[in-house]
Amino acid sequence: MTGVAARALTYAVGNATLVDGVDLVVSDGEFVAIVGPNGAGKSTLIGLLAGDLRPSAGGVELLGEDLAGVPVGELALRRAVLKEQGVADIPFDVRAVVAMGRYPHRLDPDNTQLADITAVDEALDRTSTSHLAGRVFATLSGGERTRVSLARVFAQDAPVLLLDEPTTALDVAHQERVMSQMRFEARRERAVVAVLHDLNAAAYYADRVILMAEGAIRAEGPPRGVFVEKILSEVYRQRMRIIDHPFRDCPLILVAD
Amino acid sequence: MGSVVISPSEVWFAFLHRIGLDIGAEPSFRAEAVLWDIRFPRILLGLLVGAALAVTGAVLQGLYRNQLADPHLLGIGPGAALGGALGSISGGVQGAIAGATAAAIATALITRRLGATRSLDPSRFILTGVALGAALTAWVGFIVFASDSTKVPPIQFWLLGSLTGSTWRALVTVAVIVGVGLSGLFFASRILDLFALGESEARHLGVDVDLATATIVMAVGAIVGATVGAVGVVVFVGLLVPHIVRRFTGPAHRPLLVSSALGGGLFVVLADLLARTLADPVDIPVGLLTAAVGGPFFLWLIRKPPRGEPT
Repeated sequence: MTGVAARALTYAVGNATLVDGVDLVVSDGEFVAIVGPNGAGKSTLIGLLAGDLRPSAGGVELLGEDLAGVPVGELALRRAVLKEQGVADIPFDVRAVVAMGRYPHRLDPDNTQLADITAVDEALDRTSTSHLAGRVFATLSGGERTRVSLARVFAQDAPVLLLDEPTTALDVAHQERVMSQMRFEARRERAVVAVLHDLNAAAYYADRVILMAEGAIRAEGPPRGVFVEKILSEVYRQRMRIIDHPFRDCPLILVAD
Repeated sequence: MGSVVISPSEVWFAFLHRIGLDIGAEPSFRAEAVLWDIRFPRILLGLLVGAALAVTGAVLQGLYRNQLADPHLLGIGPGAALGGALGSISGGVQGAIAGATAAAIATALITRRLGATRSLDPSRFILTGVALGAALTAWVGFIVFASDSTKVPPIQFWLLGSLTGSTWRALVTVAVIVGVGLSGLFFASRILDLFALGESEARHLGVDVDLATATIVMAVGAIVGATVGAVGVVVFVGLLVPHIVRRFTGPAHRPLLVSSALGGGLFVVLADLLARTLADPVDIPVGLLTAAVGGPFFLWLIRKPPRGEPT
């Protein structure tokens, strides 16, 4: 089934077209990475898919229904969003912040207090933040804040996940953990869309890669199809080399001199 | 305590007498009149005003994620005073309350528009409110000096607030507006918690941010307006009380709002007690006392480094 889909999605401000006629379909069970240089329109695309921005043309469908027609409370049961730059000085403790991810489920008649507690515990565990549960969010480091915000998104338990740079400020070990958790989300029939800057992480973990440049999709497909020297070098205006990863079954992208 | 000396037992007997129990000494007619018609409504109005201002302060701080937010600093109080002065020309105290409530709702909506401007940093938002308040206060002055002083209360009433002359009728009107408004705000406490994550995050979690903000802001306006119409602008309660209370309750709005209501009521009643007794038999405006405490506190607050940064 379709998680999230966009048709001819366009977003223009003044005379700048930030997203230009994007078509895309992400099914449940799929982990799609959006990559591309700064200013390619990746975050704007996430904003459009999340319903934060109103498209200038085209539209978005969430679980087969036009996003514009879904009430905001119902929307929160369908998609969870991680923004690139969230508020840092949240005065609540970590557990309270993650528990806020359960707010949408007040509309769900089958939801129980036990389900809320289980979901929060699980989300803390999956992002390795259980030990931070009692800490005030505002006192955390950048990487810890990213993980706690991701835990909030997991706790929301929505079929569509829209994540803008979920690995910002994470060390290598936590990045690996978070990437495999996103793939795990896809394996349990969620549609996962993540903006990533680390091409090698995308190459190994994502089922499909969308390469954006100047507001449009430049290339799309499995990592081996998109991560091609010619395309990457052109889009990033930087010579790149691609070899086979010595022990992972994926391409390895290197910056060439 | 106060200009007329009444003993505690007289207070008790007067109360019992009023509710129909003739036990103990018959209260003197004078003591009963002073208590029943002056002191009781004054204390109850003080409780209401304090609760109203402290809760709206806490709500604005949460809504705008701004530690310095306060209904009067943001200009809502002065807006209410302008409406109140205009209302009192034709309608006495009830007119003042009606006018102040309407004007405060309008001013609150204006501050919301100013607060919605993304580029505005927290301090500039407050400064905008202070500037708006100063301009509105000037208009209060014009109206007071241009109108019949037997109908419109003097400028110091509007600017400094005073519980002198509290009546049962004013109390009932204020109680209805504040009661309805505060219940609405308590009901919105979980939504206010979500605003701490940021507006777009609140929307992602299913909050209709525009509708919620507009409703909360109008409730704040109505509550603040009703109090200003009845007693004028009592400054700094909305800033001082929630900050102290938050140290004990934490940031969650449900306990914060309930405790702020209690703390605010107590604070204003105590300040008014001092106002009545310090320069006995002269009644000092209660707002002078809250400002004397609140001003230095406000200074301390702006000099304090923001949360999350090392001290």
